[in-house]
Amino acid sequence: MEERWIENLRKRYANKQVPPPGDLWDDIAAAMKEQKGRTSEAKARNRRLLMWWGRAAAVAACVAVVAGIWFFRDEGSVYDVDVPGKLSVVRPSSPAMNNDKGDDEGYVSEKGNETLSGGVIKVKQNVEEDEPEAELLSEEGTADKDVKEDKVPENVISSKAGISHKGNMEGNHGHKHKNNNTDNLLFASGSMKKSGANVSFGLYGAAPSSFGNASGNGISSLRAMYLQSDKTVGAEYLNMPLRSYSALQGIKGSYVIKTKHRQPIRFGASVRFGLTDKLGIETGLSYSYLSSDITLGDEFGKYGIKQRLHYVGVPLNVNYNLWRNSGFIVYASVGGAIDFCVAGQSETETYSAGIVNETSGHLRETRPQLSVNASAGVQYKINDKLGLYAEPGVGYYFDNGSDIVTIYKDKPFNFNLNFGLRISVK
Amino acid sequence: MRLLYDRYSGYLAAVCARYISSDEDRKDVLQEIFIKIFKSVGRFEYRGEGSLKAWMVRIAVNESLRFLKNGASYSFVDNDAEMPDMAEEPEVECIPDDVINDFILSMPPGYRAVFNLYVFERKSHKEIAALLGIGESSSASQFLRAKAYLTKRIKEYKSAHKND
Repeated sequence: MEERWIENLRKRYANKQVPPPGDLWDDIAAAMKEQKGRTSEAKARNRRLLMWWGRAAAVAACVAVVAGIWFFRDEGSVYDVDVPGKLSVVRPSSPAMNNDKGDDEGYVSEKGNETLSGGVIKVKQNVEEDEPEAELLSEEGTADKDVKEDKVPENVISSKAGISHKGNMEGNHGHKHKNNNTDNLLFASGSMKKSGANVSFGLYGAAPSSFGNASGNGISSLRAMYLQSDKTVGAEYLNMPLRSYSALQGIKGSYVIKTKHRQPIRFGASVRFGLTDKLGIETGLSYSYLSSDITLGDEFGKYGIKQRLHYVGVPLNVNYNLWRNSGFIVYASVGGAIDFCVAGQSETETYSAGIVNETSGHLRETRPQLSVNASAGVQYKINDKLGLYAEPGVGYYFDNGSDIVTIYKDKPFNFNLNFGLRISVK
Repeated sequence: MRLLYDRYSGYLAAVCARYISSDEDRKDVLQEIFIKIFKSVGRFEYRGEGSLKAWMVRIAVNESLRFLKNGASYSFVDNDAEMPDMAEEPEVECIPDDVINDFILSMPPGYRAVFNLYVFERKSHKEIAALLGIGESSSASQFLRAKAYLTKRIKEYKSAHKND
């Protein structure tokens, strides 16, 4: 028990406030703005890193295709090869993708991509890229035990009036594939006389929980693309860890958090090994893009956080052909995937007293994301080389224990539809 | 960020007001504090009610101490042979907050740092010794001197205002 006078002082000063200097905020904003300019070099570095990831994915896709062709020829038998070309029907229409050439590098293997915005919400925002960490928060000599010393994202602030977010919905473009040669032979392994290697390669796209109208089915729905959850913060919600705005949750008061997760956009390259006439195993490399908008507001102002995460994953699926005729093959597929977050950004905008401030920083997600999925697919042979497939399925994403909230955590059960084209090479 | 500033600048200014006597210096340090907070808030992890404020206050204390350490007048007077009378406690109850604050600010910086850390940041002498790079016994003696100084100033204040 401390002495009485100490307790008295502690009590009196526990919530002591004194008015800060009047022009302090202006000076802080100016200083932050100045520092932001100094991070451009680091920005370029980060962009190069993303580019390399994209190149690596492209190279992997090419290697997969070439290896498959080689494997196929080496066998001396003609079996079907699903090749490149599983067209991604949903094109990432996020501004981050469109504005950043570095990101675009990641799509070089997506030549056949159909541009079908399919209701992906486009958010207008400034093209400023995120700044990577440039400096440590050093507390040397002060032994601040709870403040970690590891490298962390540096948030940079700048004052910008009038930054607006526009929920600009892009409609579907109604793109249709013309299906010719419908009487062609079955694409898959129908011509196989013996059990052997059936290698398929594909570039695929995915639009989970949503449907592009590549087949003109009109299922596409803006709403389906855009999961929403509005929650008024309660005590239990306050404990929900989300790094990018966890700091804000320490603020007492009544405020509302709205979380909007956009549909993940996924594409990649796959290779399928036919084990038997009907059974095949498929793996590859995939890229996923997750984006979320989180807004948090109260009587003092509003925060808007944009969270963007980039994953590279390796799926492993077993396919089983259930039924086939001369034009169609119906198959089932089960498997899992492991995804690694290779880059992440968060941008925070604050609106307070008519002033908009923007900060941005990098999110670091080190824990892999595991998932399992099951799907049923139907493949339609357009001609000798081309097959069109659609593969609705359901996936479950395991909680990886990270405190970064993603659609995988909020909606672990994820309906998805993979679709595209497979080209069979003889 | 403005919201964080609006909510917490008063608390952090109060922290600085216990460590730094000059208005100009205090403003500079507050600016550094907020820049540091804004830069690193992305890594702050919520650990319960009040954790954000506690985290911000820690940064404020660290920056204030850094300022004190860099100041030319920062010194410890360990060789002072005359140990204060430890019998008396400062009678703080009837002294207004701002007067107490002035007394704290008028302490030599070494006393002030130890006093603030011990009383308001609830650090042990061992922790203070580590923070300030001094011996544990030095921290304890600095605190006793600070306490005696405060007692003396309060007495003077009371005798000056006894007719109020």
